[in-house]
Amino acid sequence: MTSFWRTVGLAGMAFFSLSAAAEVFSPGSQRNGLDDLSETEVEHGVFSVGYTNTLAYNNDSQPGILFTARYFAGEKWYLLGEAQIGQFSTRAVINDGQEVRSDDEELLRYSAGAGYALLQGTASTSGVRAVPWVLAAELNAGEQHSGDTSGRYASLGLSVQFHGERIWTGIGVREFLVDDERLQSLESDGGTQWDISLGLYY
Amino acid sequence: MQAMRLFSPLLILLITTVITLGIAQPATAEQVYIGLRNGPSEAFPVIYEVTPYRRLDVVARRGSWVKATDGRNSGWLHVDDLHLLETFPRDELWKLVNDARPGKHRLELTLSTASAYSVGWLFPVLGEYGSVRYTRAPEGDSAWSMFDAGIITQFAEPADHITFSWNAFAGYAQSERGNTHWSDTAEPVWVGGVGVESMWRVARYFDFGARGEISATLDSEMTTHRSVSIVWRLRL
Repeated sequence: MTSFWRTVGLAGMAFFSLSAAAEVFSPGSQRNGLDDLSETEVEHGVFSVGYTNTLAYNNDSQPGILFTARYFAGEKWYLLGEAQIGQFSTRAVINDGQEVRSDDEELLRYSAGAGYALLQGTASTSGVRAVPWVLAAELNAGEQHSGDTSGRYASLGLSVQFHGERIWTGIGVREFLVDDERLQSLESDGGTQWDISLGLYY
Repeated sequence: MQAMRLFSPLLILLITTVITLGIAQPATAEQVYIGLRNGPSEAFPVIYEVTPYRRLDVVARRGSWVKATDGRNSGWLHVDDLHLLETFPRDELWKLVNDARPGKHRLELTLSTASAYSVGWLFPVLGEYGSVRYTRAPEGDSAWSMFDAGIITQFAEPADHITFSWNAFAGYAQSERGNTHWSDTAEPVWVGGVGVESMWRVARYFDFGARGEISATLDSEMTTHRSVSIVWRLRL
């Protein structure tokens, strides 16, 4: 019994001595007060919302809303994430008595890609305020759902952007392809699309 | 000996004159100016110049560029040029330089010849990079998806900004809509694989490259697939 309590006592002393040592020796990295400095506002990228118009082959011009996120990955490169919702068809197509495209199909597209600034410059109308502008090439790939079918989406386009103090403005035009078999059979698996967007830095 | 004594001072005078003329430059007062650009890139024009003793405040940062203002005018300059501003506080300078450095985490997007795209996250682990990825081939009758985790180890850097690495991964894959891409059944299967990649550091925060991979199901069938992917990698 005595041996037991002696063991418990020694273990307790060892534990408390280690705890005390841990409290005494607890070095931390020196930051020299850098963390106390006020944070500078960081512009990681741009969120934008815009109007887009899609003119697929053998289809009418269709409006939509385009949501875009751009992330500045360097001086010239940026990453892209896009989502588009809108109409795909307002006119039915009947082939051999079977409706292959209805008159109220909707479109959902999401894609990701990258943009590269080909030209960068300054725009000014008054000579007092100067707004930086960028002409960029953009590559996108993703998925497009229209009606009950879907397929891979790929696009290549140009975008003109004005990087205002607070507001970002972009105008883009692109050629796209979708490998949806139904759209291929309708010969409507590609086309041209333009958009105009307004955005805010985040 | 007498002639030598006579010419020695003349010789020394001649040498001294030549050295003095050679070293001395005409005194000019050259003022240094620091250019502030209209946007965060060297492609944008300089719209405003300041002397090193001008007091400027940094109001925003985009990547490795900062927007500085003196209250009336503003412009962008690279963080590496901030030290040229003699009056800029050194502690703020080092904080901005540190903040502008890309972190160790990576976000990855790929497109592959297997008609698939993937989204991945890379993170440092034990001195190497660990990865988790979600891959999906959305094409109609051969659609499939896979979730995997792996490790990436660099083995060569033949030139600045170009690296070669190998990767190994294991994950869970499932064929969709009754196709037999991974297995004859609709049940998910374990998949493992290895690959080699070459990445090019395009920009401070952005890598671009290609990767070849071979993957196989970890069952008795050992169904194998080979693919080549284009890889975009963002340094977070």
